[in-house]
Amino acid sequence: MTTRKCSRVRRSNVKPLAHVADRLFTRQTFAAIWASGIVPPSIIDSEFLDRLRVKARPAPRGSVNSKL
Amino acid sequence: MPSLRLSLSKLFRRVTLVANVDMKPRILCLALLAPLAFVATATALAADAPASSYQQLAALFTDWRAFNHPAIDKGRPDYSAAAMTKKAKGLAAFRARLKAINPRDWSIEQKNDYRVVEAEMNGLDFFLRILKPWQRDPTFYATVFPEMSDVPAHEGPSAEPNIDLFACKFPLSSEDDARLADLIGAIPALLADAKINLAGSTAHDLWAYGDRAFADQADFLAQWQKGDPQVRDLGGPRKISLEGASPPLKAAVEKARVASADFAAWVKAEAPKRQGPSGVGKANYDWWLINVMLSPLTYDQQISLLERELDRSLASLRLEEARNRDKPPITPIDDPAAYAAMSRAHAEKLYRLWVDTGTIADKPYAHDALLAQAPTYVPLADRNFFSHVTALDPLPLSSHQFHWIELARLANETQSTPIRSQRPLFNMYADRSEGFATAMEEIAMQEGIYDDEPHGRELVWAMLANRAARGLASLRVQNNEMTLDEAGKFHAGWTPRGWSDAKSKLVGFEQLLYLRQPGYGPSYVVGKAQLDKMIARASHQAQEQPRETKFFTRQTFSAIWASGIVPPSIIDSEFLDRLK
Repeated sequence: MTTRKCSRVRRSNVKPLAHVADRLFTRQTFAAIWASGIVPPSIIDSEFLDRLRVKARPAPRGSVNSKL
Repeated sequence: MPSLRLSLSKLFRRVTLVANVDMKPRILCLALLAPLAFVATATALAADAPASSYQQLAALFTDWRAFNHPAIDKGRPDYSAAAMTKKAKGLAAFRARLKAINPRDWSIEQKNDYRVVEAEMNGLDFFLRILKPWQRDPTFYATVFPEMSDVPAHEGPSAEPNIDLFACKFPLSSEDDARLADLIGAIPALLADAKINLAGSTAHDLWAYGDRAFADQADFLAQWQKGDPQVRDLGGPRKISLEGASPPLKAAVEKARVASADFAAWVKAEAPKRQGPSGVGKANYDWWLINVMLSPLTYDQQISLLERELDRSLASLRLEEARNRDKPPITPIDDPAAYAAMSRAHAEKLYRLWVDTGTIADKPYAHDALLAQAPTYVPLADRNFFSHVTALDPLPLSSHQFHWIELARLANETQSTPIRSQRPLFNMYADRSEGFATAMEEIAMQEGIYDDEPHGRELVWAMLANRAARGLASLRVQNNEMTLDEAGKFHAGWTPRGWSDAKSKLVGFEQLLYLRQPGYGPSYVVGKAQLDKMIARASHQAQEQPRETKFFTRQTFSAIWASGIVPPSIIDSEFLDRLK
């Protein structure tokens, strides 16, 4: 491992304080997984991401995500 | 606390060009030659021959290491096709000598030494048949090393003689000044030879990224001419200067700088003409894993393991964030002096944890080695993945700096066998060194280092995800399923928090290294898994011999470290006996 090679990074890409829980992520991910019901996980895996794409829109004011 | 600087001064007082048991003749200011080991398919060999003495293996090993060097004339090595053909013929004779040794009645460690010697010969065989770095890989000819590696030898193959500036004591003695002038003075001729040796290479990605090391080499030499660039060794970073150097050395540095810059330009211009594959392919990769790295995992098994670890680390990071949702965030420190004080305090805390849990023995050299490498402040604009992590907390990287405790152990402790007191060749220790250092990040976390700073646990998962993603990419590159550019995008894209940049120097450096050196990219995760397995096996054995928890931890780690820096499968075959 080496850490000696420094690089310039685009600030817009960097989230140095991103260590704050994204509650919406957790809530939506689990909801999307549970929504498939009791089927083999490979079935769930093939469909749950689409549910997240639909739901992944800006959070409304007052949601838990609005304070992040 | 004994002064590390004092102990280093003892180590460094003889700056000697050594063409010894180690792989490369180098300006050796460190007597820090590390341990290795070998062993045991041997038991199946020469079964009918009379038992041999271990001394026969030790003598063969000395001859083997001498043979492994290229012919060098005034700092100029011979890697010509004719020389390599001759080397292949010589290898056959060494294999015959090894096969004639019957280790039947030896201890397990001695048999394992046999395996290591055999694996080294396999390594040269692979280099001669498949990898051919002297013929395919321009970066092979970058030979100026300002920084000591955190593993027992340089990462990736490189031409001899290595010019290890970190191993020199500055200001230079007249003798060392003259040696350096000769070595650095030979760089233009080396690079001229390289153009001939590389004429038939078509390994595109090795060329597309192959100019970088020489641009860096030229930059470093220019910095050295103008000021005081940094080098690094066991004592940590320090500045060196050409002030007081002889006119021949200064002239040699200038010629080497120009030659390095010219070579970088030549490689860049040649890259579009070299359009063949660069990876060794899955079948060759498997051969390397089995016969050189002595790995229990095939290419496909490594893919599965790394995918699992990528999933586990990313999932754990998200759940860790949920766990810490109401905890106050870490407040970054932007003052370099305050950061340095915090970093050293954290490293001190880590050292105490490892000693108190029995993870390592309490040794002044280990303490000093860890503290000397405590991460320093990096401004936001200059940060790469690791410094983004470290800006929040240096502990994850300090945990990985376990490497330097191991290097200090090699420098300060007698190894169990003469063969293990030398550094293994061909980076065959990658799973052991990189994997175990990576494992120490999670081990420190599980042992409680972040109990008073929960967000630190998130950083550990991010570090693991980065290693799994880049290792997966490197495997795909070796099987020619991805280009280095694609690997960089995968590597950065699957690293959390936008902390890795596919176009960064770090990502390019890492993916190129893992292409140049089979086995290295996945080793961080593969070796970590192998250490987990050892702890599990020790735990299972301990169920039959109940003992107090602290004692178990101390004994287990001690038994593992006692094998030295050898492939984990070697350690796995011998450490449980130490626990009985």
